[in-house]
Amino acid sequence: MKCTYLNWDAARGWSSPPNLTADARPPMSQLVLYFAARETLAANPVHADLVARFPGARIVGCSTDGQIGRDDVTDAGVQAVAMSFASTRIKVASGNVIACSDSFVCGAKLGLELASPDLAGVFVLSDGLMVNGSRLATGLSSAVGRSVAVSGGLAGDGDRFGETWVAADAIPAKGVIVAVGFYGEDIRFGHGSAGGWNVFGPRRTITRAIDNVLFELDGQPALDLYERYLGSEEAALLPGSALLFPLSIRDPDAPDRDVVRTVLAVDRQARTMTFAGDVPQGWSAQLMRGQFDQLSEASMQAARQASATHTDAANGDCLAILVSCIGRRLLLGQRVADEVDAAVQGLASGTGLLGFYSYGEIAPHAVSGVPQLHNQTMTVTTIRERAA
Amino acid sequence: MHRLIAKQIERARRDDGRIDIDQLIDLVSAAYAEVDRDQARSNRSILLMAEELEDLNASLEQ
Repeated sequence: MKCTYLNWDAARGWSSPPNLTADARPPMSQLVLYFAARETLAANPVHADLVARFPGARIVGCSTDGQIGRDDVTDAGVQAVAMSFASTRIKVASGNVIACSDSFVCGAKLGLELASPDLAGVFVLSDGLMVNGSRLATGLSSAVGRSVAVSGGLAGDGDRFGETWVAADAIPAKGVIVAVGFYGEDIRFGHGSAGGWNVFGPRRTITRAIDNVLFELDGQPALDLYERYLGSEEAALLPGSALLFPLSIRDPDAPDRDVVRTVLAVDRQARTMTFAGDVPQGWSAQLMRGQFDQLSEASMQAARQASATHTDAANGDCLAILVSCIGRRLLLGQRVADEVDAAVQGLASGTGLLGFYSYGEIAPHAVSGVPQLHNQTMTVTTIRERAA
Repeated sequence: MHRLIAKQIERARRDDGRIDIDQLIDLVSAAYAEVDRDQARSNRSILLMAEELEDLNASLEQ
């Protein structure tokens, strides 16, 4: 596998690595991934530029809450990687949530398109606001089989929560889900996901909820609790500011398997909060808070986990795709680069990287291996081909 | 040097290598504000949590 990293900004246009001259191009790229803010995608022909630059490649990407590069996190510009494989084959499946209201069914449809005995892994990018990420992950996984690792993330829209866009070999648009299947014996994936947040305060019970809409905790409107903890200044910045207090939820029948949920929307009239995944009634819930150094430490752990699975020698480059959560960026503020630095330290040396801040991360559960939606985590997917 | 100020200097560096002082001041000022907000939020959480635990205690004693 050979990776060519590119970035674009309004002042300088597309960067090219020094070796990318017309007569010394790397082998034909089969897959291009790119990440950019929605306004960048709206105002510039990013997708068309990449199509012209990488003829024949499948080109997928999404809108973000910031792009992750090796050195820093930026809002402006585009981060992209073009991948050419020695032996791995690629297939792209896409769907539209508007035509398919159930996220599980949508995921299963894409999974069925990709399913094959030699399917080794799937990377998925999804609309971040119109999709129930936990159901999407379950649907995909049910169709491709438990042995196929599924990872990826939900597109972002900064702290506006307006529209999220995904490009599935076409101009980016809302309501789109794209899944890339990687086929063959030589492709290898590694995954790591970690949060670093701590629970605090009393454990509450989810007394009223429907799917991913939370109405009440301990009989009180959930939004009241958040507004009280945020204070009036930060409560005015809802739903974004609710990300500063993620919710840890757990099934009373499986108390050791807690899940973290991120808020996507609030309804101030109805006093409800909509989360990126299900918040089942009857489960317990506890607020969480984060500290800078613990989030960075978790980021390093995630990168280590994702690198640790690679034991055989690589054929060419190793790529790490970092999908981190908007909630972490909100808390870390200008220190957001710390968690990227920490991830770089956790990766095997020589690993290239790019990534984005998202509305939800998808990766296999560390113990069960079942793909699921994670929130408020740094989630790392490493990809490489094994030496023949 | 603290890693944040090192990063801020890099972020304020222009293409010609010079540092944009106005941009650097904006970054430093915004970082102070971030720390203030973080501290206020932590204090608020601790107070509210203590209140909630007291209420819980009172209801258990009844």
